[in-house]
Amino acid sequence: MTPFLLTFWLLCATIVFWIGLQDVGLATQAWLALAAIASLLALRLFKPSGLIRMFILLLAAFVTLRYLSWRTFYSLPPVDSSGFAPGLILYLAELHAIGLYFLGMFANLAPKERAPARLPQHLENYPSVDVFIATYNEPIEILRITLTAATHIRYPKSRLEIFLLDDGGTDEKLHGRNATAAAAARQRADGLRRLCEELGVHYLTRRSNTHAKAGNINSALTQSSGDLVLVLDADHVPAQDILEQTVGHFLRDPKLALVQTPHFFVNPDPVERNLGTFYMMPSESEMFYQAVQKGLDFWNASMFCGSAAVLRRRHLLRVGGIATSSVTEDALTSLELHAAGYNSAYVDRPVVAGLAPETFDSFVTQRTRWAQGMVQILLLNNPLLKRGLTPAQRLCYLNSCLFWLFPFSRLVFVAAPLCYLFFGLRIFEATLSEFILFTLPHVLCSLMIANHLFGRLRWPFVSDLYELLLSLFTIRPVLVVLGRPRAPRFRVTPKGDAIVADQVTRLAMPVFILFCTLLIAALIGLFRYYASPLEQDHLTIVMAWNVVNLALALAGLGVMYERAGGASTGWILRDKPINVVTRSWEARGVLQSASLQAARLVIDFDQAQGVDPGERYGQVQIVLPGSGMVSDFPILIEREDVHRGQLVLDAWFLPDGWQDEHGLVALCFGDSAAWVAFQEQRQRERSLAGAFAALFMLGLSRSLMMAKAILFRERLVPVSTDSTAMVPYHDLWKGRR
Amino acid sequence: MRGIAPPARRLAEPLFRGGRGRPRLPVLVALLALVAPPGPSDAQDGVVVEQAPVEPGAGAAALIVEPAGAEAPAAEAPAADRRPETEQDAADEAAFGPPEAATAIPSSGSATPEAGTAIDERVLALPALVAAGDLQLRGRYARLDLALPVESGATVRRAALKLAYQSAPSLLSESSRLVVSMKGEALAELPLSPRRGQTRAEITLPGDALPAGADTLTLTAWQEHREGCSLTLSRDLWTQIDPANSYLTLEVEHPDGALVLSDLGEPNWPLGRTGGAVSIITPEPVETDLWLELGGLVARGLALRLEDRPLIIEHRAAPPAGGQGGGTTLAADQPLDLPAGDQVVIGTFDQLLTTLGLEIANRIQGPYIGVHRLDDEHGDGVLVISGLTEDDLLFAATAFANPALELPAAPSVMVDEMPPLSPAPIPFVRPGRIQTLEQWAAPSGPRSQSDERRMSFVLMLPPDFYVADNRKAELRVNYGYKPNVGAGSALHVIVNGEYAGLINLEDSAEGGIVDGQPVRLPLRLFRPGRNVLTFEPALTNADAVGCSQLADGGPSVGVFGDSTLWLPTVSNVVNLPDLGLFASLGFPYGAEGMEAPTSLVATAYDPSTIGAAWTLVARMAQTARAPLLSLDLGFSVRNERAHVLYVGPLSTLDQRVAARTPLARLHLRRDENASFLPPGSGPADSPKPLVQAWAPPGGGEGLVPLRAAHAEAWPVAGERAEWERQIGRPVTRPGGPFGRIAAAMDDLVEDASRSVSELLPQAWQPDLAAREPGFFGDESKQFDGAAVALASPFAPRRTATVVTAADPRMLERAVAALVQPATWYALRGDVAAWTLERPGAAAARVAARFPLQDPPSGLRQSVLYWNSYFAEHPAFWMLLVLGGILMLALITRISVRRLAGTGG
Repeated sequence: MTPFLLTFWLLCATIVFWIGLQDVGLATQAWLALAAIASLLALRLFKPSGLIRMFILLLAAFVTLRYLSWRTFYSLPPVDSSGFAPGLILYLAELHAIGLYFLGMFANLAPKERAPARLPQHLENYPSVDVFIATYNEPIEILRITLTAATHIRYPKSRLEIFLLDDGGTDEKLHGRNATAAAAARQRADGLRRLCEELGVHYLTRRSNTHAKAGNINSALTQSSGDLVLVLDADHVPAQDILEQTVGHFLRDPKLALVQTPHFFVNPDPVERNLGTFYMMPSESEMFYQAVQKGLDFWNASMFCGSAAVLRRRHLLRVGGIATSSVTEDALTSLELHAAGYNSAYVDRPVVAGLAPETFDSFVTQRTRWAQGMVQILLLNNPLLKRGLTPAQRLCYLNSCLFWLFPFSRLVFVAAPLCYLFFGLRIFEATLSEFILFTLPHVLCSLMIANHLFGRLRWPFVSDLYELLLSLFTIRPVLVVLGRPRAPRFRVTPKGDAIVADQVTRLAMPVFILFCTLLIAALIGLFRYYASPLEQDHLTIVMAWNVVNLALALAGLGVMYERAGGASTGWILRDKPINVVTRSWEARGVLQSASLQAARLVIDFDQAQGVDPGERYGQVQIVLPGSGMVSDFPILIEREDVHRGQLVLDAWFLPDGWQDEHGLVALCFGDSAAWVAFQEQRQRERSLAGAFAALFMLGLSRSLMMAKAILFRERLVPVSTDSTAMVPYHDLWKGRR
Repeated sequence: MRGIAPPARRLAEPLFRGGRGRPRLPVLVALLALVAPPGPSDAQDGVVVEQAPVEPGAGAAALIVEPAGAEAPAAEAPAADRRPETEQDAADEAAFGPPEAATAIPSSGSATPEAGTAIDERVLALPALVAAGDLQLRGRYARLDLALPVESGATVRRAALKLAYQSAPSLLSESSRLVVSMKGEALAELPLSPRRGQTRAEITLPGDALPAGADTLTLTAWQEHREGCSLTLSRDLWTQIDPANSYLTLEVEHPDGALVLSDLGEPNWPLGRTGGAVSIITPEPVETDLWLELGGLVARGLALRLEDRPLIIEHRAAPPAGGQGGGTTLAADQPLDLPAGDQVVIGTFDQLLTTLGLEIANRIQGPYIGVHRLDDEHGDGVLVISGLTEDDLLFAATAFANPALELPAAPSVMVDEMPPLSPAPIPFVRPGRIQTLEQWAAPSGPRSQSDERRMSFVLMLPPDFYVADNRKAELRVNYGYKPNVGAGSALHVIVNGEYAGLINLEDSAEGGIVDGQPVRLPLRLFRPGRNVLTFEPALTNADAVGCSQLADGGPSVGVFGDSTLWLPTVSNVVNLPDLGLFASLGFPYGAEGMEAPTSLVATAYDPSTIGAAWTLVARMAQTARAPLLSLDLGFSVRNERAHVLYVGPLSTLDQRVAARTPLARLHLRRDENASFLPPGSGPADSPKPLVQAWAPPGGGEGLVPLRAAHAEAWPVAGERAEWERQIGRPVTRPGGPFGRIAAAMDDLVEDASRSVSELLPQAWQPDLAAREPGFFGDESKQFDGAAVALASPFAPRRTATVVTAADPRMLERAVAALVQPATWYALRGDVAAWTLERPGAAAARVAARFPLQDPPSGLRQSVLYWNSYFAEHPAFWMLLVLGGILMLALITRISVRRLAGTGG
């Protein structure tokens, strides 16, 4: 950006900003609101790009600027009124939200679509790569799959080394004071050593568990020598093309220190599972990985996410290895790399498949660590003050850090209408007309912009639901960090927790109390609406606000009723051609979906004429990813069904020996294209009203089921917080048996 | 509390105790009293005491005390003739009927006077007799002095004092009493019985106890505590006299029937006393500008001396001299055939000589103002404005119009010197300053203790107060409330009929006084000119204990006069046309010192039109509180660069002006008995619009019809049904939040539509009136009078205002209806129409406004000016914004592409 352009831009921005601050009356504001909403509708309908898209984004930002100006100058309560203190808190919460909105808009100004970077033709030009798979307490069964998949990575074997970094097998763990735990650790470590030997993987451990995962990787860096390091979590199963997708970028840019790829989850998180939205709604993480990271990449600010990333050893060591002063060591590491002048890249292709937390409890644990870590960075390594960052990088990191203060603003937004409904405090000085002309357009525009930018990747109001739920549980940990920034300790996210029956999570009480409070407030509002006609304008505003909160709380309440595990986990849609061969018949068909244990096979009706329903055993012949040969997998046919002119067979895999196991891992995790296809099939935009209604109805349905369960069941099974009893990749069949 | 509490405030402490216990004088106090069952009547010699009948469920009794300097009530007029002074009066009268006291004291009729004497019956409200306007007796011993208006030389033949009062619940009735006395001699002793609610007493005063001249009637209260009550409550010792239902009636005999000029406008002045029309009699039909101006000057002089009382003027040309032809002088040998009622005669010496007689005529040695009692049974007076020549006459009329002219205590005066004009300044609330309510606000509303729950203040804002923006005024309310105010009680603040905020009253067992409770009021709710700030209590009654249980007073809240209002600095822009501004301030015609000339044009020569013009100019003078001497009256426009006010029947209006108005689409009724018919129309046309030829092609210029939302500012609650009838749908906003939102959106759509119509060429403008069921073009909605303000077709930045009706007779009646406060203050926008039957007016804005002056030079005012300009022209602002954003988007786009080209 030349100085001339920058000066001209600043001049224009100043003028527009100044115009935005002017008080030109309600009729004029009505014009602006109508123009902005019409433009955004056009944006939705006609999907313009380039200059028009930019114009509409700026117009929406201008509407928010007008709203902020109005809030600042005209709608705060008087300083010495009883509503001032809560009004100021609300204003600060809004400032936070609007600040994030603008920062997010900036970060997503021009999402970068990176072209693939090919690997060199000659082997000698390939950089050597070390694959680090960090583990702490994950079950061996999970690691077996991850390690097996790692051995399938397509890369010259002479240039690839695989390391299992076992922090559960450190001297500190093996010789701990707790004899039982030490024995279990020894047993696990022994098992892992054997597994590594079996798969030809290096087993690394260290003396102590200092600095947790970061320390583990740093320790491994001293015991390895590859040019590049691929970091994987224990449950992140790599696709075969993971290095093909990433390493080429390092050859293009010598200053490139980091290539991050998305985290793709094969199972739903608790919200998705409990509301039943896993197959109909994009996962929560997709917005970050498919939109935000691409936006950050444009500003050379894509973040290291702890796994599924390749780092250049030399640059990493230059900044002292993986950062250790935050429990989100990944984000801090990328901050350090950027501050040191190194570049980052983001490759938008899911090349690992991981596990999302199964229970709401473990989900909260994970998000609490993220929140604490990002606030730590804000306090201890403030991006605005960090030397070496570009202005754009500062804003991008600031956006990422400030986001995690959302528990404050979210809870303030929930409490704000209650101030008036319960205590009569006017904390928002606005008439109905002003609300309609300033607040409503701002809210609508921000929702529509978010829907435009991320609508395919996240339904409207889904973020609000997640934030509302997490706010209740992360507010305290975040407060702790604000008071003692160095206090948090790294907590591993429990993965693969099993839920054996539908049950109410032990964390339900705060959500239940919140819902009841909002419901009572709504009833009080209704009463006052008819008892105090003069207050109807103000009550209209407050009640509308409260109703939105109430609907979100209802959806949150539905999340608290956890579904039994396995019903919808671990299934990857494939649509891969197969042959089904039994002793009595053969047919061509399609592998519709598969897990490591089972598969759904679909055979066209004309092919199914000779199928003998009594024949239960057979084989599936399929070309595995990365292999040009047909492989056979023994199967047990569990059930046949006819659906839309097709024969649908549900079958168990009956792996026989390590070759079959390798083959199944390759089948399920080898081809990243399957994950792309899976994501795309559920990436559908929803309207604001449609998404709101869907969440409300899903929440209502689950809440009613929970109420029924509480009222009529004798005993509810509490959710286990102990993650030792884990069954990897639950599947449909277990649920049915 | 800021500053030092005046002694009077300290006296008020017992009413609102608790809280921080600081004393307070409630300028305006509302008491919501529980209804007490009627008690037995007490009777004494010469005194009748009765329990005020209170309807069950009526529940609320209100008490309003005027601040010092507040306008006096129009108590002189008998109840039957009393007209509502404000829209609030009208509203309450519509809802509840006229104040009880006015009907409670029947007129005794005219006594037969002795020879050479005249009888004058007066009904005087007590607030007018109290200097401070406070009719509350506080403390163990309290005294109230009432000044008696009996002029020198008069004899009081009969007098009666009617009192309606209520005492604090903490009073011990056995040892509390109220004594009426004069010169230390007790005339009556009244009980103070708090349990009975309001007590009414009628005391017949001995006539010889009320000699003529300045004298004082004293009310003294001895008030003792109720026994067995809580200590805090026992300090409440007060008796409140109901200002609306307390009267002094006098029957005064004038020994010689002589009137003096200094009494003009005083309660005992017969002119204008009846509330009927005042006739201005000219020796011949008015056909010249001079005589139109003369009548107008006299009308203004009368109006300013009658203060805010609506003055209706009729014009009568004197009959020609009996049988002698000519018609230029009054008949010498015949008694003056003056109509019954009030008259003003204007004419030169020659014209009046034979009529007035030599004795009076000889007094006319120059500019002459005199008053004479007519020799008739009513004792009516006639005011004479005369002079030897027309110049003298003009000088006398001009002097009479000048309120600075002090009229002597004599029947006549020769005016030899014109006093300097010193118009009473309108007490404007100035933006940018903190001002107290009592500093400039005059409370309005009926002064009845049984009907009124609201407390209203009238604020005057200057004409250059631009209010289209989003800023807030800050009201700091000092208030007190009694112990029995229950949980959930609130004090609502309403500005010009729009809810603006609320104050929650704490549920306190001890009551309380609160200082400086802040309330933000949207500045947009204020407007230039007259504004009404209303406090409406919504009180619940706490569980009564102790004395509260014994008390018959219910929960109460009082707002103190030292409450303050701060208005932020605004854009000093006058946007015209604006009928609201015209009605509030007479603007632009009433603006003293305006550089632009102003004219009033009567468009016809008939007496009805001329009377209407004089009535209107009288009301404008009252509104502007100035004689409007710069206003040029005539039958034609002499200066086309002037702001011109046209008064006349529809068919006589200047077509260049009328064609630019939507009057053609308005259905104006004719007077059924009218003999005047406009050209080309006849009885067969009725009730079609009289003037079709003026309908502009396309049906109007961006007409915006009335909508239900306009009724929100409808000042007279009782007129809602009429409004609904006129616009054809309910005006009550539909229930539920969606209804409110729909109403708000209705406003937006209207604003946006208007703005769109401004952008379009004339031919493209939609005929909005045809689409909307407003009052335009709808034959079922008929009016009697209409006022339209528009940009002058003759000069830039000038307005033309039209007041019209279908025919002259209807015009006269319509203008008489217009000058009534409920209709006058309902004028809004640039088109208004009204009927004779109901007070109030339907109003709408049709055309865009324009700023009257050039942009200011200062930075702050320049910014505010352009903001106001953009507020009036949203499309221009939008173009500016869109252009700026487009430029920004372009640069951003180029920058992004460059950044992308460099790899970020």
